[in-house]
Amino acid sequence: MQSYLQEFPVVLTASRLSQPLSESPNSMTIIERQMIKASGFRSVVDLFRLVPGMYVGNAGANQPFVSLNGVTDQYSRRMQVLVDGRSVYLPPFGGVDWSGLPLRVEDIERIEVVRGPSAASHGTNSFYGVINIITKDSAFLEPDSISLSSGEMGVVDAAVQHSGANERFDYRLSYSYRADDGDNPEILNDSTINRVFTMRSNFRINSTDNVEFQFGVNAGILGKGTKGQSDKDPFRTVKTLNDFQMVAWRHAWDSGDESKFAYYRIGRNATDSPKPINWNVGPSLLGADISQSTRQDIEIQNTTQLWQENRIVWGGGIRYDFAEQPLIFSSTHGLNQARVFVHDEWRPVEATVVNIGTMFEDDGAGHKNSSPRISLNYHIQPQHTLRVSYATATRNPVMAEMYLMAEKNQYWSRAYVPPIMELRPEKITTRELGYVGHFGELTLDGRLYHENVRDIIGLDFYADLSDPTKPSSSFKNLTDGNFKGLEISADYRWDTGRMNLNYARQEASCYFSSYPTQYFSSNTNYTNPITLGQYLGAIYQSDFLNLCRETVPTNSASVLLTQKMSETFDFSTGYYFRDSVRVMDVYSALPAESSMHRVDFRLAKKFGKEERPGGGEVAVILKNVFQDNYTGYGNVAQMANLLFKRRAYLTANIYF
Amino acid sequence: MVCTGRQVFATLGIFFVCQTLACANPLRVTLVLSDNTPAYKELGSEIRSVLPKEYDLKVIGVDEGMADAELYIAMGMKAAETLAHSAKPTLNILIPRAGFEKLKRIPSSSYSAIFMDQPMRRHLALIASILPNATSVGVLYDTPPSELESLRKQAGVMHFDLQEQKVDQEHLLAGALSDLLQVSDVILVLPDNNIYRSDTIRNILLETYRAHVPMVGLSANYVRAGALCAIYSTPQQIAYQAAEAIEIFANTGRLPISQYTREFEISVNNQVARSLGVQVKDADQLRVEVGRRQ
Repeated sequence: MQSYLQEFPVVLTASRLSQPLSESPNSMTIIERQMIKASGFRSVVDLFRLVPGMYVGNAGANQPFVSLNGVTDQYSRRMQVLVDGRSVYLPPFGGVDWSGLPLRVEDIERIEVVRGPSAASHGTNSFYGVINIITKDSAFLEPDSISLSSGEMGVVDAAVQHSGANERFDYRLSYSYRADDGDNPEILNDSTINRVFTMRSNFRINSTDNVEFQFGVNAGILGKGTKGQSDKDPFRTVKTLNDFQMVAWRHAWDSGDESKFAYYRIGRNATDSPKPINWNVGPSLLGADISQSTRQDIEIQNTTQLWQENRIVWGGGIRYDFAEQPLIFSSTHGLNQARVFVHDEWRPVEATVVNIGTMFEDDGAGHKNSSPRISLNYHIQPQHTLRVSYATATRNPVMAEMYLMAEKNQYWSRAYVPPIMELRPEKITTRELGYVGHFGELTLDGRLYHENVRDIIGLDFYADLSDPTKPSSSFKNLTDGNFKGLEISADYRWDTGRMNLNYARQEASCYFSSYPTQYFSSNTNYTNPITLGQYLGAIYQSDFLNLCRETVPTNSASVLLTQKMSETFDFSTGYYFRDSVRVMDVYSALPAESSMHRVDFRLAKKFGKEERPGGGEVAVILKNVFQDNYTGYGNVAQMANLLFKRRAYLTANIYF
Repeated sequence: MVCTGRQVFATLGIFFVCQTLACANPLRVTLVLSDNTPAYKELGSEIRSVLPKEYDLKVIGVDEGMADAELYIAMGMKAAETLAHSAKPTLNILIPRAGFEKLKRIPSSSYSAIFMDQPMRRHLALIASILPNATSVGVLYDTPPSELESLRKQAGVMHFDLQEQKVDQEHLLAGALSDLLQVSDVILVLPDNNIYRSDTIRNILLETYRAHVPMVGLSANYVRAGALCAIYSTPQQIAYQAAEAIEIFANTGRLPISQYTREFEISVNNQVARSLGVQVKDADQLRVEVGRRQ
C-alpha cells in the first residue's frame, strides 16, 4: 500500500533534463559515455575530435586547446566551457587549462557541444560555441573501481574510485595519477604528471530540496622548453595547482518549477621556474614566473512554466575574476562582473518551438552588452525538424588584452603595452539553417551557417622610433571575419554496434575593420615612400588577412565505429580527418599543419559483468595505427618534425 | 496534465438513489482509519462530503473500540486486518488487491473491497497509448508480486514482451536495473517497497533517464519525481465509488463484489516526455484511449 502513497523527492528537475536536439535553439553535438570509452582517448580535449568542425591542437602535449571556427591562438578564448555549470576559462588569458582541469575522463557522463552563440542559455563568452561537460551524478550506484593503464610514450595512469550512499546523502570520491612523456620529447619537453582528486556529493534536505557539493584539485608537473633554445626556452618544469569548490542548491516548487542557487570558486596557480629572460644576449634567469588566477561566481537560475506552452529560464549572477602575474602585469587585476539572462521556450502553435532569449552583462571593465537570439524549430513531421536561427554574442576583452605590460626582450622578445584606444568587445552574429531527422535508428543532424564576427582583437604595433623594425605590441580591434560552412552528423545504431559520423566544410575570410597601428609615424626609413602604418598594413595583409582562410580546414570529418564482436569482445575504431590548417598565431614563415588521416583502434576483453562488482575489462588501444605523419600546431622551427607517433597502451579496469 | 473523472455523474447517481430509497433509515457507518496519515483523513473527509448528511458516520482509529455500526469501512491495510478477524459487514478501501487477497476472511455480500491499485491491463493500455512503439516492458521486483501473474497474462494478450528482473544478492539493484534497461523500452513500476523507496528512487530515475528509457509509475508522486506518466485513482474517485457501494448496501443489504475503481486519472510529466522525445498526447485523449484499450 505504501507504494501508492509514498512521497518521493523530485529527481528529474527541469535543469537536469536536456532539451532534445529537435527542440534546441542551436546545433548540438552530444558525446556520451559509451562514445568516450569507445574512442579510447585519455584526455578530455581529444574527445572534441568527435565534434564537426572543431579544431583540436596543442602547443606541446601538455598545453592542448580547442576551437570552433578559425582565427584562434593557443589560448582559444572564444568559447564558453562549463563543467557541471562552472565556467572554467580563466583570467587573465581567457583560455582553458585543459591539462590542469580537476576532471577525469572517466567521470564524464556526457558532453554537449553547442555550435554557435548561446549566451542566453550558457552565459558570458558563449561566442563561437559552448562546451558543456556534465560529470556523473554521485547518485549512480557504481561499484568501486581501480583502473590502470600503461604503454608507449611513458603512459602510466592509475585511478581509484569509491562511492557510497544512504537515504539522504551520496558521494563519489576519485583519485587519479596520470603521466606521460609527451609527444615529441626529443624536441619539446611536453611531459605531464597530473594528480587529481575530486569529490561529488548530494545531500537531500527533503523531497523538494537538494544540495550538491563538489570539490577537486589537480596538481600538475608539466615539462616545458624547446630543444636548441636553451637561452629562450630551456627544458624545465612548471608546477600547476588547479582547484575548485562548488555548492548548488536546487529547490523544486509544487508547480514543477525549479530554482537553483550556485556558488563556485575556481583557482589556478602556476610556477614556471626559472623563467628565462633576455632573448638576445644569452641565457639569464629572471626568477620564478608565478601566476595566480581565481574566479568566484554566484548565480540564481529559475525555471518557470508560465503556461503549458511557455517556459522561461531566467536569473542572474555576479562574478569576480582576479589575476596576478608580476612579470607581465604591472599590478594585480580584479573585475567585478554582473549578468542577467532570460530564455523563453514557447510553443505558439502545434509542431513549432520558438526559443528566444538574451543576456545582459557588465564586464566590470566598462563594457555593457546584450546578446539576443531567436530560433524557430518547426517539426515538418514528428521525426523531421527544420530550424532557423539568428543569434548574437559578445566576447569582452580579457585582462591580458587590456593590461599586458612587459619590456622588450624580457618575457617575450617583443615589448607589450596596454592599448591607448579603448578595446571594444568582439561581436558575433550567426544565421543558421538546421535540420534534425530520425529514420528509425538513424539520426541525422545538419546545419548551414554564416557567422559574421566584428572587431576581432589582434596584436597591433607600437612604433618604437629607436628601433622601428621591432615595434612594441598592443591589442586593438583590428579585423572582421566571415565564417560559413556546412556541418553534418549522423548516428546509426544497431543491435551490436553504433556508428557516429561527422563532417564539416568551412570557409573563412577576414578583412580590416580599422587600420592597424594606433600610432602613426611619418618615418620613411622603409621602402620609400610608405609610412610605418602602411608598412604594418602590408605585413598584416600578407601575414594575417591572406592567411585567414587557412585558419579553418576546408574539410574535416570523424567516424567512430563500435562493434560488439562476441559476448566478451568489443572493438571500436576512430577515423579522424582534416585538411591542412594554420592557427592564426603561427608565424607566417612556418608551414601550415598538414592534413591528417588518423586511425585509432580499441579492442576490449570483458570479464564478469561490465561495471559490476567482480567484473572488469582489459583493453588494448592503438593510436594513429597507420602512422599518418601529420604535423601539429607549433611555433618552433622544428615543427615539421612534431609528429604524433603511433603508440599503444593497455588499460585494465576492475570493479569490486 | 491531469484529466478529471466523471464525478458529476456519480454525485447525481447517489443523489437519485438517496431520494428514492434509503434516506428514511439512515445507515450507521463507521470509518476505521489505519492511522492518522493525511491520505486517510483526506479520503475520510471525501466520503463524508459525498454521503447524504443524514447518515450516521463515525470516524475512529483502528485501536479504538468498534462502535456499533451496520457497516464498517476499513481504510488501509491495518484496519482491513483488524476487521478481517471479525464478522462485521466491511467494505475495504485503500488496499491493493494483493493485500485484500491475503486476508483470511472470505469475500461475501457483506465483505468486499474497492482496490486502490489499477488492473495490470490498464497500466499496459497506458503504455500502448503513450509509447506506441514500445514492445518490451521491463519490471523489477524483489519478491515476485502477486500482480505478476496477471501482468504476464495481460502482456501476452496485448502483445508485449515482458522482461522480468529479480533483485537479490546475485543481482543487486544497480546491476539488475542496468540489465533490465538494456532490454526494455519502458520500465513499469510494480508495488515493491524493497525497490522503490525514497532513498533509491533518485538512483533508479537517473539511471532510467540516462538509458533514455521512460518509467511508468504508480502515482502522481512518481510522475512528479520524474516518471513519464502514471495511472491511478484519486481519493475523490475512490470516495465516490465507496459512497455508491455504501448506498447499495443501505438499500439492499449487500455490498457489490470486490472491484477496481471505475474512474482513473493519468498524469504525464511533460518535461520528461519532451526530453525523451515522446510525443505528448492530450490527457483527455490518453484517457479515452486507455478506456478503449482496457
